[in-house]
Amino acid sequence: MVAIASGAGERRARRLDPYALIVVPLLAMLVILYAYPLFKVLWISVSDPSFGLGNYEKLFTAAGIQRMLWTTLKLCLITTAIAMVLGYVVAYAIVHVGERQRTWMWMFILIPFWVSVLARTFSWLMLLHDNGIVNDALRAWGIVEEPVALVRNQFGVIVGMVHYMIPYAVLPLYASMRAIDPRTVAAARGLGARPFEAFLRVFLPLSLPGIVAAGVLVFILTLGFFVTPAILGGGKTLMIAEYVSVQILQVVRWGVGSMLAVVLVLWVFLTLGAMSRFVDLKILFGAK
Amino acid sequence: MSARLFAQDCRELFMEAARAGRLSRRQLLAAGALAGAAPFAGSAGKAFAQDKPEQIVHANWGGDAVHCTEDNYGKSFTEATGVKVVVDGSGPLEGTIQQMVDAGATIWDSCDSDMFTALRLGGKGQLEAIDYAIVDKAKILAPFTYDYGILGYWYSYTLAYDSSTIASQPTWADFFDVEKIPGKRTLFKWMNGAVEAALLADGVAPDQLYPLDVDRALAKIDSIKDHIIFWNSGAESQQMLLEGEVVMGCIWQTRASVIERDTGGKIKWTWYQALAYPAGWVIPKNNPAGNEWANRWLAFMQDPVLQVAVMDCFGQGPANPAAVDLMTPEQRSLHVAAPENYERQIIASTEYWAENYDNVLNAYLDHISA
Repeated sequence: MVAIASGAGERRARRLDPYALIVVPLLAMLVILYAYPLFKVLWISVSDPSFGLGNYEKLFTAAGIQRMLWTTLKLCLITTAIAMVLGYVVAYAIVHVGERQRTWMWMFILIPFWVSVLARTFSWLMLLHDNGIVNDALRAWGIVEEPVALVRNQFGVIVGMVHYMIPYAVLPLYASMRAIDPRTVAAARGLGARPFEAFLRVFLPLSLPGIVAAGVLVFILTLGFFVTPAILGGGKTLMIAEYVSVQILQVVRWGVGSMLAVVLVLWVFLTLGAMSRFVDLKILFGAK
Repeated sequence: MSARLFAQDCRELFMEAARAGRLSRRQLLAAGALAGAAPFAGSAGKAFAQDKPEQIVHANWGGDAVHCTEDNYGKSFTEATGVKVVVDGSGPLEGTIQQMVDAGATIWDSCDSDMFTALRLGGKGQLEAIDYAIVDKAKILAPFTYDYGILGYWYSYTLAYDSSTIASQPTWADFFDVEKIPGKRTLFKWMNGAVEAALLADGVAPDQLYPLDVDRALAKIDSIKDHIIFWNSGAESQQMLLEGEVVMGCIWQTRASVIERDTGGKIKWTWYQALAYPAGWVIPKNNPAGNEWANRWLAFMQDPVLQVAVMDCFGQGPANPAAVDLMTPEQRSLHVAAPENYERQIIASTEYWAENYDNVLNAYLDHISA
């Protein structure tokens, strides 16, 4: 399923396919409902409260905004890294277990995946707060005296975000691992590689496109987290999505809010751009 | 031909006068009839928005506020006027109202709004004027009758505490003293009440509170930041106290009284030095039902009997001083603006917050998330 870009696309003739007309209404809708508002956001970011780059200047001068952006980037990178490691292990296991176990494992991945982010966030809160089940157990077993701060801080935010993101890591990883011919690993073993060596030098490199794709997908999605940091962060973890919402809705500084929204979009594009050097975007998004 | 033009011109003149607010609706209708232009009623646009509207859409903050408003104010208004009332609980934040008005797509006739937000939006031309020929100033506690908003109800940030771990009612100074009273506390994530509490704890006299010394307040909050968690919604503040996650909180009186009841008095609270915030009702610019009907609706909600009924339903304190006389002692004890409670609290400065809300909130958020 995931193969390195082939020549198939380039060989296709460069004339207008009549079937392309089918996508025209969709394209028009995207332009009106997506591109136009996006352009307006861009416009507000350079025109409110006055025309110019004043809002963008804040990226370099406002310590609060810089700190918030750094917090966002840091938490998103940590979340992505942890979710990828855990997701890789899970996907690897799913690929290699038998049919029955696979069904079960999918169930445990997909059921939480379908549960609302709000419900999952509150569940973590119930489990992890100072008098929650986990802390109660730790105290009852005499492991700790005072409750451990597991939530209402950045740790709690990371737990919630990682949990939410694992399915997004597992799905593309699984798809890419399924496409790896198991005989390659067997061949490596046959040629004398130890099991871990075979994994490291054959399986892992072959799953690399999947890793990049899943990593980028997870990272981009984490950038937009709103509810999880708002609840599990105890008010002390302010990430970009919530910050934009405050600027737009509460303090009504649309210029600053829009500027940050543009920054967010740029981050996404930059990430996609960086990724396109490793894998073919068309394959990633199922266009081939 | 010229007769028709003349008629048109008369109509235009009258429309201009009507737009400028110099003519009553009756005069306008008469003018229409005179000019032989009966069908123009449909095309006249704004001036005729004063016709009895199909409905009034009132926006508030959701939850119980939706059905409490609908069942009390709304139902009675419909009985009295035949106009349906729809309550939209999606939250009329300042930015939401402004965006709606700017886009020329106002869908709300009236909104709950902080009193200071009413001043902010009014100053930016985003609101319809309050018509004090319709709305009765005497039914509103002074001085909360502004050009673009009236006092709608009261809420207050009170100090609630867990009496199983804290022997006697703490003060704001105790709230910020983690040596004296260990344990976590909770403050409002959206700042109101928190900044004032910090200054009071730091020794600022209540009558010297405004204008706020923001830096001093933030330094005070910083000093115990590791012991603070911030609540984002009333339900969250309630849950933190119920679960014992915090030992004290600066929380709304509506939640405090409910927790006190639900815990059989384990959680206690006080009006003393609570921060009382007036909440307003405003009419967004170019509201669909028109200025007059929106004002009529606001005037209708001034009814003290209905205000007490709404208070019973979900706790918001009536704006009409006459409501106090209709209350049972128990209701009075929960009412922000009952004189005996009012004098113990500190009234938030509407003017200060109208001027400084955005700057101070950004500074506060920067600090608590640092």
